[in-house]
Amino acid sequence: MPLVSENQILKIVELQLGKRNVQKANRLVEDLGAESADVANLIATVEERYEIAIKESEIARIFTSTDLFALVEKKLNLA
Amino acid sequence: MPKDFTTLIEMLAFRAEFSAKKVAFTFEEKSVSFAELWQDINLFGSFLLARGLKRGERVLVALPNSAEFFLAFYGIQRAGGIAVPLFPEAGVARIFSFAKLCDAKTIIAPSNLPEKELICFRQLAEKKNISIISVKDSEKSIFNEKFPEIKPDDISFLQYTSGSTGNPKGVMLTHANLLMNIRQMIAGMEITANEIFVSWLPVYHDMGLILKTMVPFYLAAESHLLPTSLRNIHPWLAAIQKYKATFTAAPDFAYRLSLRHAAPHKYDLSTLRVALNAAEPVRAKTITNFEKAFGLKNVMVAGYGLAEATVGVSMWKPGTPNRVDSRGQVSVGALFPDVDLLIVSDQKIQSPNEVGEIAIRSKANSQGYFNNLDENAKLFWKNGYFLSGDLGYIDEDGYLYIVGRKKNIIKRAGVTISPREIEEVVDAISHIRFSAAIGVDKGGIEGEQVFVFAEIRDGEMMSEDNLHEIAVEMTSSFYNHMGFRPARVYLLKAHSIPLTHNGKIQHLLLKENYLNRNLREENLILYPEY
Repeated sequence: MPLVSENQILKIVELQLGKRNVQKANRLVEDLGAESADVANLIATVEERYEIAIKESEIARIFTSTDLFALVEKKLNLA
Repeated sequence: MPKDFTTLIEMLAFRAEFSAKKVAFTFEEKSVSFAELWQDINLFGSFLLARGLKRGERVLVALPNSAEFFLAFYGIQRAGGIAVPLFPEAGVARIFSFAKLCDAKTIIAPSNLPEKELICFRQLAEKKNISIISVKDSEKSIFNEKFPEIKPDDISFLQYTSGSTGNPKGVMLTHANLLMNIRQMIAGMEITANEIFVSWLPVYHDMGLILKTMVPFYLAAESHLLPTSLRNIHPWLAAIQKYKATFTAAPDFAYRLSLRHAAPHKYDLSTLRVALNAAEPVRAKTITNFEKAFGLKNVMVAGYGLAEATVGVSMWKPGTPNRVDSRGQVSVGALFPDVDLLIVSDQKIQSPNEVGEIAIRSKANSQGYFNNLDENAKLFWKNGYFLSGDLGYIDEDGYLYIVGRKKNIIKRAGVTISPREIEEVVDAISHIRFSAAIGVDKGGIEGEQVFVFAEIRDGEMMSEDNLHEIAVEMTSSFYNHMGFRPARVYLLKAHSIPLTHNGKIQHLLLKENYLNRNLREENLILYPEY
């Protein structure tokens, strides 16, 4: 059982932004309408859910849920 | 017109003399006349005096709605004591804690308490030097002719208010306070002696006790009291129909329960002049839906009150269309006569339409909390006004709106948000019983954020996909209404959000339960799993 799945991240994004059928390639800000507070809350949720810490510099490189998934997976594998 | 009574005791004596055969009230269809009521009050008062009750001594009345409640409540006052009505099912430990708070040495328990429970209760009480008695014990008492004189400024009873932090405060209400507020409500609500009252509201709480029993006693109006049981809403609606009631009152949730559990076509509520909706946030939707379902028009009106002002402060005028503002807040109407009200923010008085804390000055204002100097210092503001802790505003026509509780207010990105505004939106989503919004600051850059908790009907039976769908809908509706998104939404099992016994959400306790992970550990969160 992987520690994180792409589907889990999609669900978190859907819930956080109140959007249905979010696709992997959807951009959080441009396509899904996330505002800066939403991104901050999304990151806080993911950090709590997976017990990881995400740096400011890393947040700047997250554009889609795929990016977020890749980052969480990397952090969990390193742990 | 009733004469100008100066104490409740004088009022009951007057009724016993001049309305002796008139029914004071019925309880479960059994009627008690004013003469009978007065006789039994005197008997119980004599019993207390014979037991050595001292002037001003507090006596706990741990009785549910019943005929004997009135004998105990007024018997104590007749004998010069102070009554302390209490939620009777509060549990033994809680009852003793109240006895300690107001230094009471006597507790009145129901006459029909099973022998076993009574023995157990007495054993526990003995260790604390407290006597447990019941009204039944007074049956063989001998009349005492020498009752002490009761004065207008004597305390009639202490009304304990729950408080959201769990530190109950005993509001001292004098005979003068009570009679003033009774008159204010009669004038403000346009109540006459022809009114027919039906109520299941608890008599150990101010709205049920003062509005629904003292007001009818004052006017010798017809009054029908029912047991307090929200498990079954039908007896209430049936009683309104049977007695052709003109005045009933309940918190919003009781009207919502009626909509869910009663078939409107089975009840004729057309005699109602007033269905007061008060004691918890009033929802515009409840008024519309209830009136539509039961075929009523301009009968359900919102009211506002609090124990520190005795009880009633304002009510919307029955027979006129309700006013609802752009935020969905229902106006609680114009102030009762001789009530002054200011909206205060940062010590400054606000203009119309500006939100601030409600400050009240009235002859019905309490002198403060019993034995509680700290809280009294916080309560009183200046020029005779006390600070209510409620936030609200007055519109340009002088109508009052309640926005929320000051300490529950959420401050997000410098903007003040009332939990109720959010809860109204979330509660409208299907499958949601009701919701509570709190502000949580987890220490991140985002600052205080909104967390929303919603109890789901039969949520345990739902698939994860269904729960996800409801949760997404919550965020989406929230965003559409508020223009920003909540930091978290949680779906909870039914009965997870803490409420006070009269149905108010305990936001601070919910926050505590969330932050210390009680919600998670007690398995109350249905979704999401983190």
